[in-house]
Amino acid sequence: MSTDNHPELVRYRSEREWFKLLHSQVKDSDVPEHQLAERTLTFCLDMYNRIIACVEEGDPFVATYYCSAPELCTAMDLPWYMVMQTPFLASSVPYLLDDIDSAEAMGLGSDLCTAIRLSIYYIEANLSPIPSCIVGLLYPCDGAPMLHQVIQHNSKWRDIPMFNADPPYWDDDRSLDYFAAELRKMAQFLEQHTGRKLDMDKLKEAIEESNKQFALWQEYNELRRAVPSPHGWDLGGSQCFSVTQCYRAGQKGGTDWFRKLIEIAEHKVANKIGAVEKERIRLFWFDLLPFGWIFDLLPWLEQEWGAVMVMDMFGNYPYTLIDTSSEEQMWRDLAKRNLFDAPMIRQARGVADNFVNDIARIVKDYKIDVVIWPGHMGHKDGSATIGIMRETCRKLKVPFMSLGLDLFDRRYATPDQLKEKMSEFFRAMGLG
Amino acid sequence: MIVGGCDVGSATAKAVLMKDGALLSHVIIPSGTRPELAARKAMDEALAKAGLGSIEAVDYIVGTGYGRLKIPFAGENVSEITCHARGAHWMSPAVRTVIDMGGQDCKAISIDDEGNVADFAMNDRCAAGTGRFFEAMARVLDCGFEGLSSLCLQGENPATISSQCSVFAESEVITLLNDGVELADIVAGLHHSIARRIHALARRVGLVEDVCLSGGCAKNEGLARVLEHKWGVSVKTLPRDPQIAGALGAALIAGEKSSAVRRAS
Repeated sequence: MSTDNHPELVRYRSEREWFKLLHSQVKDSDVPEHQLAERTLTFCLDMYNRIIACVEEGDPFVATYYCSAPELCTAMDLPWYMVMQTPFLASSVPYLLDDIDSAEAMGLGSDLCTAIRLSIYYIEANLSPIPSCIVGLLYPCDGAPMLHQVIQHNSKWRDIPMFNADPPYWDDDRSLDYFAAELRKMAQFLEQHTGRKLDMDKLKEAIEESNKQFALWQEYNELRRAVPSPHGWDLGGSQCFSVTQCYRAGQKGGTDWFRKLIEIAEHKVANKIGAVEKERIRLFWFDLLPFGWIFDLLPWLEQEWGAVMVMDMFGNYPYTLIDTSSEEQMWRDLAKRNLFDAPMIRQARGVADNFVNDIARIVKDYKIDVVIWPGHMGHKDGSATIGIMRETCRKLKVPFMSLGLDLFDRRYATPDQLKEKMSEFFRAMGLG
Repeated sequence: MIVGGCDVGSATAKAVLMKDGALLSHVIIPSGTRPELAARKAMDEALAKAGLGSIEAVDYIVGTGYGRLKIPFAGENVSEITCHARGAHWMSPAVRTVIDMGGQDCKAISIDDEGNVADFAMNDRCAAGTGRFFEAMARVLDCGFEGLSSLCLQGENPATISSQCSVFAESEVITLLNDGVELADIVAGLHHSIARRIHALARRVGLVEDVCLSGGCAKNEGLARVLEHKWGVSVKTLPRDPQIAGALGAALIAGEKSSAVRRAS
């Protein structure tokens, strides 16, 4: 079937071409990090190929958010993609500013989180593959339900069945049981709308594999504690998260990917090879990375200040390994992992203590010199705790910096403005 | 060991000389249009006041302030935030919050018990709460920069001035003058307006006593009293000229650097 019959694939295909190009550039490299990137890109291309094939062949596939128990899709052999993925992809950078302007021209408020604004735009502009069903997300922010509302009013999407697991407010046993029941309902929903059956043995197998992945991730993070840290912003959290959420959740290929990652990091730690030649500042970036203009800021931090992002919000691994000894326990632990442990969800859905505890633990464990809260314009819930985070850092005697930016729109606070602000801060604090 | 600090700000250039940890001399002059010339002139005058023949007598000099990159004789330059913290702490070791009100910016600096910066917040986007604001208002009110303070202290019923922006505040002031409001009350109202701005800045770093003002505007006693009233805490007066806090901090840092180099060699 030609692309003309599927205009929603136009952007998706161009993203795939971009990743193909990237893949071709690293596939024959001798650099271990490039070899790992080759594997990541292979996973990524595989996801694109599977989704495109599903659209063309009329096979079932799912649009999800992050931390929606992707092991379920693996166990049911269901291809999935994250409905909000596009703004986070490097392939989107060439279009991003125009897309933001188009979203605004559509009447979407400029105070709305740009990730949500763009995702709404991609639905409305028919730039996202239309799935068999949607697994929505009612947390961590109010923006996600706005996207659901748009989906329900869009002529091409409104008839797509959607399931939203209802998140409990508390973190007690009753809440855990409640959310486990919600995940069971999610599995039934997927069965009903995709025609696939959930084999509990296969789910157990996928979860045991994802347990291995998360255990390896933990091991990798232990290596990042080394001084100098073996990796900075360009390898670690985002890739680990993508492999466990988007590409190879509970799949052996993902587990092998983590083994390779550890092998690379172990070698660097053993030989005291850091992410930069001379590590002068170890920073904790407490949010997503500025995906829309990442290359305008983060390499500069390393080159100009020797500032290595030793940890970031999504690289921080607090995931509970799932006990698969009984079906009931397995669902409970799956609920815990996806609701109580997941980054951003854990902080923004939960109490401010989660922000404080994360900072305190990471500062201590990773010998952090400075905590940076990027202050993404969409993360108003997190920004409400700036005072508490600042107080925590003061008690820990580690500088805290709140920037104020848009992770996707470099015009909100320009890279030059941010560089100036950060330099001023580092100088004043005697860092670097 | 003789060390120096030179702080070239937007309005004034300050030079400080210290000998073995004690203040030798200090000078404050207008910055003019050439920061490097202002720095040279300030340092020459400080040398003369200290009875030193030439700059060669000084072991090490640290530069700071907006013009710090243009100070030709500085061995290195350090952020004015760090310098104000160090300078204020040296003058008054109990100080934990410094409100530095300079010619074109305003900063709230939280410091630890060793005078290091623990946190800071800064307004460098508009003139509110800076020397430029007060200069503009003094011009409109024709009372001189120094006259603002005494007028503020005389104001019994501070006028309501909602604007902190110097442009809009000026319009409000003109309206109030035309309405026949007492000059002292207008000036007091202006200080209350700026105090709100400073209050917001100070809240970002947390107001921990002792609190002091540094920079040229710190000499405005009226402002200190208005801030005390707003915060309910005493605003300490620094025992030395608060305008030299930055240059003094730079000299202190120069002393540490010079000592470290001597120890190493």
